[in-house]
Amino acid sequence: MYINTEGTKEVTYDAIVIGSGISGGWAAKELCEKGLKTIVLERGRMIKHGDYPTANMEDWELPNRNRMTAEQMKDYKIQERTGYTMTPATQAMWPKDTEHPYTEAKPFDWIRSYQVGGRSLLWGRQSYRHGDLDFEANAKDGIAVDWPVRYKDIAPWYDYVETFAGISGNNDGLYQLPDGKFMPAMEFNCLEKDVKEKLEKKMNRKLIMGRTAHLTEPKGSRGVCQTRDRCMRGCPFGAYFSSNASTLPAAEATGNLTIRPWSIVTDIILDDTKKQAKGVRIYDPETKETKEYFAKIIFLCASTFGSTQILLNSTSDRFPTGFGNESGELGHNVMDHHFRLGASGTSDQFKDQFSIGRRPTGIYIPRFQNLDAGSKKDYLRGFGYQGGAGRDGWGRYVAEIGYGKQLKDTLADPGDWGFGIMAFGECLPYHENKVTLNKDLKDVNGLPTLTLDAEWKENERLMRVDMIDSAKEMLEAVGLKNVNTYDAGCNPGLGIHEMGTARMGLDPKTSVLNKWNQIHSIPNVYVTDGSFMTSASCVNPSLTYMAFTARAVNHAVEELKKQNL
Amino acid sequence: MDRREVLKATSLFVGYALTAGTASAILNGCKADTSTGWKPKSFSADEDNLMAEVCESILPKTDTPGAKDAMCHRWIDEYVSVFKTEDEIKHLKEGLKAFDSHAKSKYSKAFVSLNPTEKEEILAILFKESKDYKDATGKKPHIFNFMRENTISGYFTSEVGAKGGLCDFSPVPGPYQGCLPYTATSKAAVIL
Repeated sequence: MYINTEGTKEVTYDAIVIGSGISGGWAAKELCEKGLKTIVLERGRMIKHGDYPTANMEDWELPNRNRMTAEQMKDYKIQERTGYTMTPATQAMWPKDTEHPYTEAKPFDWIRSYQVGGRSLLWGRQSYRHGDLDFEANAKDGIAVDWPVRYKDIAPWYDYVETFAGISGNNDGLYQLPDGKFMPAMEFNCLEKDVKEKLEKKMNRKLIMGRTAHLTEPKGSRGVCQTRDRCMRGCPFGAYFSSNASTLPAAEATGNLTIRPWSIVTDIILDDTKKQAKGVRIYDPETKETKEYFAKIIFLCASTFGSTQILLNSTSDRFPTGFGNESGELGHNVMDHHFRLGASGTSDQFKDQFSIGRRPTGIYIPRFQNLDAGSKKDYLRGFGYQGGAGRDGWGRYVAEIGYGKQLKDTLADPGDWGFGIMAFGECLPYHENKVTLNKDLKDVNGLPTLTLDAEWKENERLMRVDMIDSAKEMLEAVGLKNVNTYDAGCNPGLGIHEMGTARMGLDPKTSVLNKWNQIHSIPNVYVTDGSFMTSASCVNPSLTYMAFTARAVNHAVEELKKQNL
Repeated sequence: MDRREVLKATSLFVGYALTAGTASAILNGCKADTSTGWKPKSFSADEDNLMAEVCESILPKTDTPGAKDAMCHRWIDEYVSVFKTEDEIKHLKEGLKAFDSHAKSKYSKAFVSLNPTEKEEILAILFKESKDYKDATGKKPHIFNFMRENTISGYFTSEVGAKGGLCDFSPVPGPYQGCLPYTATSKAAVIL
């Protein structure tokens, strides 16, 4: 990758990609491989694959044993709300909330990352397909708008991105969770196998190995997952899918890629006919300069709210309320997954069995509610559970032995087996859940900020009751002991799956994008991050962004060839 | 449910989202200075000596390193100095007096002057006492619980403790093996 220190000739490309996270990385790879000279504009700093300074550090090599002090945490009051993201080992991956403020009309946890690779370095890596249960949901329920695609349209693109990204998992033959092109799944441990058998026998519920974007077989220069459990520091093996380890090197290998870090896109520029975009304007926070870049096609992949912010800020006499916002839906229909509740229990079995490695995935219990008349509930849609089993380590509380050699001997053995599950539920698209541009509050660069105004509603609240009850019912049914439920609550945003603010649809009057991810009225602008999502499903969304992005690039290049763009 | 409870409830099971390693990093950990000129920041020299002996009694040297080898007492001083308020430190200093007061009433000696068996007797008294102790705010733990928790976490997050052979230190475990027989020579993994 080279950094363009451009002269005037060098500001025109075949394609511009805004953002370098999961969607932007895929757009860059596909565009470059199809022969287009492509510039990726990334708002944050450069991180090249392998440039992960804390990846091999032990706790004793990190400040305060990898714990943030209250003083350090002052800058990260929102980023720390997850409870697990902020450590000295990962601090450089998160923006300072003090420099990048936003307004919470209602509580909203916006967990962001500004760097080459974006949140692809930090994601949960669970990778599931949406099926027709999801694509038909809005039409069947008569809410929001219908997806303009069906599973058959996107299935080949799931095949395509899974094959390149490397997803480990099993084909489980489930309608609600379509099969795919997977590497061998990671192993179950003894208790998980036992729970799986009993759950399938006693309740006819499926329990599968989590499908995850970690290699279980080598792939090119990327190595097999070593189960170190230090993913968020960046993986020196390239064992999980990130833009840095996967798509950007592939794009670079074509010779067609330019990456420009420190390039905050402020707005999209219309051409004189006002029927196309001709380029974008950036602000460079290092040089404090404003620059313009031009291209035939623009891929907006700046993250759901990032892309929406750029569109909202791109106003003109043609688009007074935001770029391509004839429908008035831009910024609306914010979705996320609601979670942080479930149950756990213990087992007296398998004391002579243990496991080795810190597996980066767990078990998954796919959605089982509202699949048919028999599973109809008092709410719409459904949820899945992520979880797993393990034996306690040295951090457990040993009640019976307080000190001395006996305590050492006890800690040298693993503790009891435990099994836990956490529900992740679909939320509905509500028009009134929205983001808006706030010109009164400026960020560290003097740019406008966002106001986030979203909340869970009755459907989510009803679902949460069932999420707890069903968890308890299942864990008791399989014979676990000491079954406890918990609901730690969560604000919208904490799932870090923001979606829906530039949704796709059939009708330009009620949606921002068409079925190819093009802005209805400006077809040379494609938006392929989570903002295109018309409904949320209950599964993790990133794989779907990959598939839609690859499909959109293919469409764009065909349209270019036909001279339609 | 506070954040600590959430971590406890979820850390073991949702390995990729809230990992045991992440949880331990949040809940534990502070660096021990191993230089010879080291001086405690929050405690007096006497308190530091006392803590060293208490730590060693909790995790004594056997065929694997003890808490003194891992400098758990220094770790506790560093940790307290960075993360505890003056009020919380005052509470801990008050608590430490219990080791000497029990030692004096039972053996008419300071805790540090007792032999290992006598020290264990004093720990037994305080361990028992700690079980009935209620810490409503979570900020004023019983001194025995505080010393034990931080000796253990200080031990396993130190290089000496993690690599000392008590548990299996494995920074690069390799592919996950779900079901293995646990034998007499197997060890639990050190998870950092």
